Amino acid sequence: MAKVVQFPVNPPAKLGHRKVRKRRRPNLEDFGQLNLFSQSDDAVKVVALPTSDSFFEEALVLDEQGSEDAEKFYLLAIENNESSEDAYCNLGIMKSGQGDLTKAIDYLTKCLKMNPRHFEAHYNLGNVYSDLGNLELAKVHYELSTEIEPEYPNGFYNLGLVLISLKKYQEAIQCINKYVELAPSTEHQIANELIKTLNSIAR
Amino acid sequence: MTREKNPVLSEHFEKLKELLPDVYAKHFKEEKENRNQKLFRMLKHSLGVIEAVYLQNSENFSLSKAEEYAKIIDELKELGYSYSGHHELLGKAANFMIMKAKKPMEKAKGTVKLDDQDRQAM
Repeated sequence: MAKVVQFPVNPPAKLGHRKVRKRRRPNLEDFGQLNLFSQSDDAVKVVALPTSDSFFEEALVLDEQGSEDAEKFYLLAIENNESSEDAYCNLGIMKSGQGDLTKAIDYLTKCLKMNPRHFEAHYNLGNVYSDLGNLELAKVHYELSTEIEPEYPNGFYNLGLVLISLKKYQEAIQCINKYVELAPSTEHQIANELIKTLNSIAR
Repeated sequence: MTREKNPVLSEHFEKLKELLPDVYAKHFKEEKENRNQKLFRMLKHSLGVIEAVYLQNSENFSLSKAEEYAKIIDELKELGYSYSGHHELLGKAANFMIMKAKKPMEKAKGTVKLDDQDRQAM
């Protein structure tokens, strides 16, 4: 009688898509190499690298982000003689924002000591003095800023407001008109209304 | 000891109230007016204290406080009361409010780098 021999049957290879599977990470030490990256990914600390190559620029970036570290970088910029006058000016703005108006004046005047024609420092000092209610000094600094940078509209606007407070309406109208002349059209509405009100008061 | 209400009398007075609301409201109105006048007097007194503090040390009187003072007087006017206030203090408050509309500070941007300009191919 013939003997039935079971024929080995190989399952046919599955055709079609093949999923990608996560490979086991090879142990580098098996290959005679030190495993320097054995710690898990979760423990890796992401360190922000400086985005610019100078302390001042880094400070400016941090300042725009509202980071308090900006102060540290501005001071480093001063120490390293990188745009020192601008760094002092921006430190003044930071201090004013923190409500320390005395320190703000200190930094802004340090900036003017380095460059007496620094228009932003004059303009910002105008803002600080008007916050303090010293309108005469605010007026002087706004006037200086408009003399140095006659194309900057905001200097004329703020000077106009100071002149309104000092009841010098005709001069205020001239300043606000100059602002309208220089500022983009999107900013005209409020200024025009202000001029209309001033005209009715000044008559 | 509490006095019990007479139901007949109470009904009678309720009817009277409906018929003559003005007469019955008058007493209540007067009481309310007196209370408001009393409050107004107290407020005037408080404003006077603020003015005294200002006169004692006007240099250190903060402008935001002057603004609050002016707001109280403004609200009093809106409610129909008249209080002239301290002229100088009101002026300071008005200036402060005007200057609150000022344009913000301007940051200095540093010197512009010109490294990559005018580069020539070798």
